[in-house]
Amino acid sequence: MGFNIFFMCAIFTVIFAVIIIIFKTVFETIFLKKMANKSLITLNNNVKNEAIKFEKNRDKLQLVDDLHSSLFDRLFKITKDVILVQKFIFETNIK
Amino acid sequence: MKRILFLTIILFNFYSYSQNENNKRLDSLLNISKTQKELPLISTLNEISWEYKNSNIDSALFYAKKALKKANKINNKSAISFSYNSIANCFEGFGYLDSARIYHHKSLDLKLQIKDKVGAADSYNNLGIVYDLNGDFDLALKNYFKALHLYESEKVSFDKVPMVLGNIGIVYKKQKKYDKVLDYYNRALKIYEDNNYDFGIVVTKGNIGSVFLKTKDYNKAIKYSNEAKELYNKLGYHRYVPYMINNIAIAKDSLKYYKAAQENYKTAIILFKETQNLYENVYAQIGLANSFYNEKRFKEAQSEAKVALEILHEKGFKEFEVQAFKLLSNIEKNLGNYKEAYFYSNKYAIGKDSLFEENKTKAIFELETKYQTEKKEKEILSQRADIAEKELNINQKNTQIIGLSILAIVLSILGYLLFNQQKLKNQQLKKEGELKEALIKIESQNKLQEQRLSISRDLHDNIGAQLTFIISSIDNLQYGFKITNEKLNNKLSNISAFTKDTIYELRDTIWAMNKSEISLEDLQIRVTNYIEKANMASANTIFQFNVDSDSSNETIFSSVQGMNIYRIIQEAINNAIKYAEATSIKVNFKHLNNQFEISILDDGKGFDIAKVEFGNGLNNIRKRAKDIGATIAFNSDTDGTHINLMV
Repeated sequence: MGFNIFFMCAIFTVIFAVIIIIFKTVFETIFLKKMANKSLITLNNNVKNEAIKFEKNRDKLQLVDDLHSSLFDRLFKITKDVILVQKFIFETNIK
Repeated sequence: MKRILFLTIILFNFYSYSQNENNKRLDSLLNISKTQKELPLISTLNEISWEYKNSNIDSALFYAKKALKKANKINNKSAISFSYNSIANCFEGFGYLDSARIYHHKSLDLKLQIKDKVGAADSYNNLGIVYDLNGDFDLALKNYFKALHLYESEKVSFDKVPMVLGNIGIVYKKQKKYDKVLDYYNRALKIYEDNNYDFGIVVTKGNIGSVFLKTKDYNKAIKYSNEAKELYNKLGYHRYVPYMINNIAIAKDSLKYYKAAQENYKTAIILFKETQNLYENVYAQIGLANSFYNEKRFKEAQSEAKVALEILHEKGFKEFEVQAFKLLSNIEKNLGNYKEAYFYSNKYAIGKDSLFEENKTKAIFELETKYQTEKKEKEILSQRADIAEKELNINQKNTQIIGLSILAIVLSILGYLLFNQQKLKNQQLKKEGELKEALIKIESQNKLQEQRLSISRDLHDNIGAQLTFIISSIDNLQYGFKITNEKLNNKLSNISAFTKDTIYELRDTIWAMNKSEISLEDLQIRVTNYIEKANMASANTIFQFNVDSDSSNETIFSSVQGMNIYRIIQEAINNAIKYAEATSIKVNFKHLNNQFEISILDDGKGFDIAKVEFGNGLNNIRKRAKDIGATIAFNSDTDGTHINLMV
């Protein structure tokens, strides 16, 4: 009888402790989910922001590339015209 | 000497044997009572009272009264009558026969009320015992016969009827009505034999043998006592064998078979000594001394008698003193020891008036009946205690199993939750890792792009400065050197104009680059500036710029979109001025549903869209529209050209 009481006390004490741990685990899991969602939302937002930035920079670089391609031609033409003017001036003066 | 009290020995031996068993049962019952309630508890309390009756009557009464109190509380008549019975037994134990009788009557009344015929028969039997103890033989018989009638009419265990028959026999024995005693004993014996109940058979045969000793039918006494002896041996009740041997010795002694009687006495004495039954040992010792005396072997008789006297004085068995003194007086007289004879004769005279011997006889007979009656109850109670103990053990084991099952379940739940939590953590870490990796990648790419843009800005600034220098240099040349050569002047002017255009283009691109997004207002301002410049360059042309009031200033275009729209408008206006020779150019911004309509209308000479090959300008417009996902439509006739851009 004595052993039985001790055994049952021990069992139910362990059960009680495990139940407390279960509740603790449940609350921890809920908190963890909450924090994880927050963290993921923040990261997602950061990624989205960086992606938007990337797109904008890409557009700008596209403009720059377009500009550079036309700019190069223009600079070349200006240089060519300047050289032709120089040639004309030299030719005129020599005459 | 002709005592037929062997059953008492059975009772005493049961008593001593069962002491240890009783203690165990008592502990078990006390433990069980702690977990019980109501009827089971009342039953257990009554059992505890029964167990205590042989060792501690006060405790027995205490528990019996406790049981009654609880029975009254739940108002259960059966339980109350059972408790009354227990209390009556306690009072019997105290010797308060009147109180015992009252409580037995109370128990009987309740049993009659609840029509418990068997219970009522038990109560009649118990009352019979009490009246018998009190010497009220008529009332005792009356109750016994009522009990017998009820037992015979109801379905009861087979041993109830012979038990009552035996009790009736005991009363008749006290009244010395031996023929009736034998009648009832024989009826009891027949029932036992019909049911093969060996214990009942052996006890009854022993009783019958004892009665035949009283009726001096010694041969039958020997026969029955022998049969009982053999049966006791067979059943293993060796303690009771010497009682039968003692009775056989008495019978043989009475038949003057002295040698056989003495052998039997000696055997009985040895067996009594072995079983440490000094009480009966003294009795047998006296019987042996008496047998020697009857055979006129006075010396041996004296020796045995003195041994008996020594034991009974040592152990205080006063009840045998009278017999011993009388015998020794006769022996000493026959031996010629008159002094001793006189001494013992005096002792005998003093003692013979004592009724102790008779009382002992009566008490022993009474005990036989009571213990016979209650033996069965005791067995039932014992079985109930065993069952209750087993039930308690089962309940304890069930509780343990339930406890362990609950523990297993909660541990499983905990395990699952912990696994879930870890899985969640892992998933979260994985997702975070992926996102962080993507973030790092995109950040590094962004940094790279920003570096490129920064380098481009520096480059553009530099180029802008260089181009401005070229323009100012050319202007200085033109105005400083007063160039007369027209061709040269034109060339320089062209270079200057071209360079200026380059600068404008550079600035437009820088404007778009510096904006993360271009609002409608920004575009509006840019277009307005361009139109003003165009107006200055082409004074004959009227420019109109309309923005629909529905268009929201919160409309946003990306850098590329804004830049391309601006370039399209630029190109269209240039074409209208250069090729269409338009006098009126309109630029309209209109918001339609989720789209923007930009239209450039002029009233120039137009062109045949089908026939004319699109030049760089128009192709550029198409390309730019395609780049920003817009649709472009050209409508041209002699009244003018309409370019429609849907963004």
